[in-house]
Amino acid sequence: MKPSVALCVVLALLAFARPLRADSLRTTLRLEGATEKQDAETVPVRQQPRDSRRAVLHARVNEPLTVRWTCVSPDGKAVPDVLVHFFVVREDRLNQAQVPDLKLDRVVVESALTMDFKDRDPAKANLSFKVDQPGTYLVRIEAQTPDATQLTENFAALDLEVK
Amino acid sequence: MAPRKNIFRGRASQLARRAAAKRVLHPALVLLSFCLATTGVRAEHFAITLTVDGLGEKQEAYADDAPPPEGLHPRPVFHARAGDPLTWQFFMTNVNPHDELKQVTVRYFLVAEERVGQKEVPAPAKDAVLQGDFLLNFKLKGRVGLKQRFHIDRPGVYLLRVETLNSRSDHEHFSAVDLEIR
Repeated sequence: MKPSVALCVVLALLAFARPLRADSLRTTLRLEGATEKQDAETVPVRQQPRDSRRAVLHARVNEPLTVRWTCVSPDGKAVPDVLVHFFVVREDRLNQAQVPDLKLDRVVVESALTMDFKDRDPAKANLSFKVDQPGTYLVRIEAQTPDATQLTENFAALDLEVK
Repeated sequence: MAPRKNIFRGRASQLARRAAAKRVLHPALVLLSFCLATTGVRAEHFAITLTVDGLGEKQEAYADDAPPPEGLHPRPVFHARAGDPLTWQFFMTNVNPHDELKQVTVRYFLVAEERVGQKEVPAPAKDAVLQGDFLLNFKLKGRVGLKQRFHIDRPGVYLLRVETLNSRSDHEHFSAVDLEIR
C-alpha cells in the first residue's frame, strides 16, 4: 500500500473513531428582565475568541428575571452522558474572563441535569429568579461530556448588571 | 483558537465546575435508598428530595404520587419570617429500570395558598414567588437538580412544589413543602 493511501485510511479511521462530544451540541441562552432581553449561544471552548465580550443585561435589585436555555444535538447525532450545568454567580466585573468559584454565598441559582442527547431531543429550561444585591453576575450554561481527559465543553454566557 | 495555556487553565476550572455540579447532584443518590424504602404499591419512576433551608430551620420532603393531587403523605411545614434569606433545592432521579423517559417536564413553583396542608393545589401563577420548568429525557439514573436562594416578602402560607408532567404513566410524581411565613 502506498504511504499516501495508508495515511488517508488512518485519517479516515481516526475521523470515524472520534468520539462525539459536548461540542457537537448547540446551546442557547436568553435572559429577560422587565424591559430588556439578551441572547447568547454556543461558543465551543476551543474556538472561543480571546477577547470576546459578553452581552450585558441591565436590571434593578429584585426585578423579576427569566432565563431560558436550550441544548440540542442539531444533527441528531448521539452524544451520551452529557452534564448540562447552568448557574448565575456573582463576578467581580463585567466580562470577567475567569469563571468565579461557585461558592454558596455567590451563587443566585444553579441547576444541573444529565442526559443522553439523540434524535434532536432537546433539553430546555425556563427559570425565574431575582437578585437582591447590586453587582455584576455571570449567567452561564455549559454542556460537558464526562471524559475528564479531554476538553469537551461548550457554553453560552451573558453578563447581568444589577443596580 | 485560544492559546494552549488558556485551554489548560480553563480546563482545570471546567473540571472543577463539573465536579461541583456533580456534588450538587450526588445527594440524590445518597437519598435514593431512603426514597425507595418509602414508596408505596405503585411502581416508582422518580426519587425526589426537596429541601428548604433558612435561619435555623430546615425541612425536607420526598417523592409522593398524584393522584390525588395532594398526594398520599402529609407535607412538612417550614417556618420563617418575611425577608429571611432562604435556600431551596431539589434533586430528581429516574429510578425506573425499564425505559428511558423521553421529554418529561419537571415543573416547580412557590405560590401562596390559603392554609397549611390544604388539599387543593394552587395553579402556578404569574405572580409566583418562584417558578420554572425543565424538559429532558431521563435515562436510568438520569438526574435533574436545582439550588436557589430566595426570600418571601409577604407573610402568609405558601406551597413549594416540584412535579413531573407528561411522564407517560398513570400517575405523576411530586414533592412538596408548606412554608409558613410570619
